Amino acid sequence: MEQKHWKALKENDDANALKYFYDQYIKLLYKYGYHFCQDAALVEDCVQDLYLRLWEKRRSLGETDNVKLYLMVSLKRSIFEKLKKNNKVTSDDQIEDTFDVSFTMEESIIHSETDKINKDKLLKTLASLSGRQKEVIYLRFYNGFTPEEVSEVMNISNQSVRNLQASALKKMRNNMGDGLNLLLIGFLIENFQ
Amino acid sequence: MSSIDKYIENKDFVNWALGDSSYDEQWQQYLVQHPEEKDDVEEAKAFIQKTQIKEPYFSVQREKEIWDQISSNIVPSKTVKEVKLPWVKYAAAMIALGLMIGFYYYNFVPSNHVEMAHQGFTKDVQLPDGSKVALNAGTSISYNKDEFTDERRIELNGEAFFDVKKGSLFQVQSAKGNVTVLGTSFNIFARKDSWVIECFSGKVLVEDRKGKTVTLTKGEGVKYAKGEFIILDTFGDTPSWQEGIFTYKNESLEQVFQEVQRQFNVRIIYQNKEIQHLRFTGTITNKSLSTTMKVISKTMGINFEIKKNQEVEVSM
Repeated sequence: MEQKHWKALKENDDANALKYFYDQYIKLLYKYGYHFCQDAALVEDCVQDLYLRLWEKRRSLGETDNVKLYLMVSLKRSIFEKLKKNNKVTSDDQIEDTFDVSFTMEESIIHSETDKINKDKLLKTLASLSGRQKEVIYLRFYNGFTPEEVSEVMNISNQSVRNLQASALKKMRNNMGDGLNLLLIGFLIENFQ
Repeated sequence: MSSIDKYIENKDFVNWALGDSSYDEQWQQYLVQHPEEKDDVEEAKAFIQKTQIKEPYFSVQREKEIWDQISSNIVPSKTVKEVKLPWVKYAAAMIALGLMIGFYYYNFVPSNHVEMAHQGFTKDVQLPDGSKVALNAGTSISYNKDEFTDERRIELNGEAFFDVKKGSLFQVQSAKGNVTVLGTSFNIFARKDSWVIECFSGKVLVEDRKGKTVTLTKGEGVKYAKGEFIILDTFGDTPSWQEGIFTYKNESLEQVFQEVQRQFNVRIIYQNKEIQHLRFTGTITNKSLSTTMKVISKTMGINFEIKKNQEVEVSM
C-alpha cells in the first residue's frame, strides 16, 4: 500500500499520495518533533516544510522501504537546523539529547500509600533519564518500534540502542530498589532486556 | 495489587495489553482456562494501558489548517495553459457570474478538489455542474467534489471569473465574507484587505463574516472597508481583467505592482520603501511588461529596470 503511494508520488505527481502520507504520519511526526522542541509553531513550520519539500523533490526521491522513518529523520534534521539558526543550540549532539517526555499514571491505579510513593519514585526516575534514553523508551515502548527502526531513526547502531536501553533500566533499578516490581518498571525491564 | 504482578512482569502479557493481536489467542485461551483470573487480568491490562506519556495536544483543526497551507502551495494539476476565454452566450437559463476574490485565510475541507493557475498564466476550469471558471494568474479555487451537486460552495484564492449555470445555491467564500448568487449575475473584486463586489447584471447577496448583508442589483457595487459597505458604481458587462486591462483609481502602488507581479510572473524589488505608498490612477494592460512599467513610471515619476531572473527593480 505504502509503496504504491510512494510510487504514485514519485512518478505520477499524485497529490493524493502526498495527502495519504500526511494523514498517515502527521500526528506521529508532530508529537515526535514536539518532544525535541516544545515550540508548537516551530514544529508546525517544520512539518509543513517537510511535506512541501517532499512534493518539490518528489521526482528525485529514492526508493525507501519505510516512509515513516524517512519522514521522522527528515523532520528531526529540519528541527535541528531551525534551532541552530535561532541560536538556541550550537551542536547536533546537544540537540540530539534534548528529547523530552513526561510520564504520567492515571490516579485510578493508585490503591495505597505505597503505590503512591512508588509511583512518584518511578515518575521521578523516568524524568531523570537522559534525552536519548527517553527517546529509545518513547519509540520502542510507546510507539512499538523495533530496535532496528529505533536505530535508523536515531541514527545509531543496534548496539547503541541496546546500550541505551540497558543504561536506562539500570538507572531505574538502582533508584527504585525494592519497589521495582510493583509498577510499570517490571514490564519495562521484561520488555527491554 | 500484588496479584497482578505476575501479569505486568510477563512480556507476552504486556505486548498483548498494548495491542499486539498476535497474542490474542494465547490470552483468550488462558482466560477460558482460568475464569477466576478475569478481574486481575483486566486490572493488569488497565494498569499497563494507563501508564502513559504526556503527548502534546494537536487538534484536528490544526491538522486540517496545516494541510490546507501545504495543499495551497502545491500544484496538483500539470495542465496549465494560457487561455483566451471563449465566452459564448449561454441560454437564458444560465447565469453569468464574475468573481474576483482575494481569499487568504480559507479552509479547505477534506476531499477538496483544487485547481490552480500559475503566475503569468490563466486557466480555464469546468465545474461538475457545467459552470465555468476562468482563473486569473496566481489563483486557486477549491471545492468539495462530493457535496458540490447539492451545495455549490467554492473557496477562492486570487481572482476568477465565474460563469455559473442556474441551479442550487452557488456561493463563493472568502476571508472577508461570502457572495451568494440570487438568480442573476455579478462581479466581485477582493484583495488582501479590500473586498469589492460589482454587480454587472441581476442580483447577488453579499455577506461579511459578522453577518452584515447587502443586496446588489445591476450597476451597483460595494467596497468593504473597516466593516462597512461603501456604495460604488460599476461599468460594462464583464470585469476588464478578462481583456487584460486593469484600471486603478487612487490605488496604492503596492497593490498595482502586486497585479504586475501576478500578470508577468516577476518580482518587484523596491529600492525605496516609500514607493509602495504612492497612489496610482490609470490603466495598465498585461500585454507587455516594459510598456506597463513605462506607463507606471512615467505617471508616478519613478525609475525602473527590468533585470534577469524575472526581477524588476523600482527606485525613486
